[in-house]
Amino acid sequence: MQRAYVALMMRVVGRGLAVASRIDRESIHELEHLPAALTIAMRVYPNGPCCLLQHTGSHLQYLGVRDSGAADLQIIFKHLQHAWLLYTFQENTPTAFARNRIVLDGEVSHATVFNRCMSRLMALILPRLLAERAVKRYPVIALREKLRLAAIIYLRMPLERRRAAA
Amino acid sequence: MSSGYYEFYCPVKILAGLKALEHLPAELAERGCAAPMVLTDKGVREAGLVRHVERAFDEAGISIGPVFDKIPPDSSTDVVETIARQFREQGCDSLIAVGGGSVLDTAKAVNILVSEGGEFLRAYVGAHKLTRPLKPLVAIATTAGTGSEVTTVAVIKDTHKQRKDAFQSSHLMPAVAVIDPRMTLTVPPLITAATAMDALTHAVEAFTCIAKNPLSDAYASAAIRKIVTALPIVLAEPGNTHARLDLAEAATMAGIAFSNSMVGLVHAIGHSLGATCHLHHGTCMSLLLPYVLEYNFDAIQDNLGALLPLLAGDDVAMATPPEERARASIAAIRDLRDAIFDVTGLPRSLSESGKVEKSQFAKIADLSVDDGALMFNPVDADRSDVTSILERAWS
Repeated sequence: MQRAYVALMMRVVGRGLAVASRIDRESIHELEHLPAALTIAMRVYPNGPCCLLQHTGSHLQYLGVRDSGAADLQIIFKHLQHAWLLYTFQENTPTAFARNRIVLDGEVSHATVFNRCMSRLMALILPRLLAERAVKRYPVIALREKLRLAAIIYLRMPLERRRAAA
Repeated sequence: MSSGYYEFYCPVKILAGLKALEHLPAELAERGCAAPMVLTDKGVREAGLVRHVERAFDEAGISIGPVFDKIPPDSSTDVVETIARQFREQGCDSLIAVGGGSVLDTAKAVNILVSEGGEFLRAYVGAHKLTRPLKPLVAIATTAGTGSEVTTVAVIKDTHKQRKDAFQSSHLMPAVAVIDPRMTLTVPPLITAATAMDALTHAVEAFTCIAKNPLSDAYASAAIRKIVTALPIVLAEPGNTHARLDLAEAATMAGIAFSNSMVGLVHAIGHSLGATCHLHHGTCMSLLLPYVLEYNFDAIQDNLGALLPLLAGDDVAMATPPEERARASIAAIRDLRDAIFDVTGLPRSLSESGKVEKSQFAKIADLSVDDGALMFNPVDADRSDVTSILERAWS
């Protein structure tokens, strides 16, 4: 049950990030700080659910759930339970880092950018009450804008196609 | 408050006290090392501090290896790669770092290249990139501040990108750290004060940021009390060996604390301020600490209040109502900065430093929000928050 839920949420987050990186000005601005072709993996150690993304230079591309173990930036949950805590919004990403539940393999500055994109996505697609648990600080965003962006993300998410890494 | 789960790690053997250096040859022999390379900087060598190390080896009948003494105050990837080449050419098997934060961080970075292989440090930027135990590294701190002798982190300037890169791995920890008061006796008052404020910031951030845990709290608390007690004595009597030892021990304890609980926004901005304006790291910490504590205030009020007995003494804490203790802790830090300024001239504002322009704030803010330390700060900060903290620290 936990494994299936985490695997589903990895797909949702991966596709959601890819859509948000094209339509949300804040996310687009954040991604300007990442190098083109950077690959990013979120996965559960050792063989748990995984999600792979790549920065194309202008936006994030969802690459699917393959785990080659060779991404430039890897965010690794040490146990399935830790990913469950995060994806059920009981714990935000910085707290998971602080409690040593996540191992970061890669450049720290890239991880901070990715974390901001994750936080932005959570703030956009979750109801405020849930989002406040998922992020360290809920951003200032007009309700109309939040609903508009959330609607586009949810609508385009299923259409977000997997692509091969460049 | 329990954090639910935490990890604590410090495998460094610490040799502390009078004549600690004399134990060094035996420590290296125990690790099967016969050809250590000594890394230091010109100032440390000219102050005769390397002679203490050489004498310790002479007395044991062992000749010391090559000495590289050209490490600059703000070390870079170029310097690290040059030293690594020399280490290999001269067949060295271990490293002895004698110096402050820059020398110790350089030695850790050199150890990455000579142990993991490769010519370029850039391949190892980030966390958990190291795959094996490194060669034995002995860290002999000549300033009481960075705590680098017991940390898993090295910060090195990328010569080409003009920014500071962090390397983090438990393998980066030195095998041995030496705390010998002879090594800090000649540090001038300004540097003594700046490095002590660096150590104080390590301890305060370790105690107030989100990765705090009971063990790091114990080290951080002990470090704060020692710094606040010993620093005024050292500034008044620079030759006081026991107070110097207390300060050096406190810096190491603060290093153990923050290595296990990480630091926060003071360091995130401080790294960026230092890289942009070439300001001494300890000075950056001293400049920013009260303003970041005010920024974090609502989230850290209880923890900050608990520090008052350590910062201002038990009597002051007892006489202060609980709801005012957090503000009183910040006031105590400000009082300490004022007292230090009177003796050493350590700047209390960015404008007083004479090295910062307001036009640099945007760049500092950009770098700060990408700094990994921000992740562990109790309150998130974006570019405008960082800029407003810099504005408040201006004068």
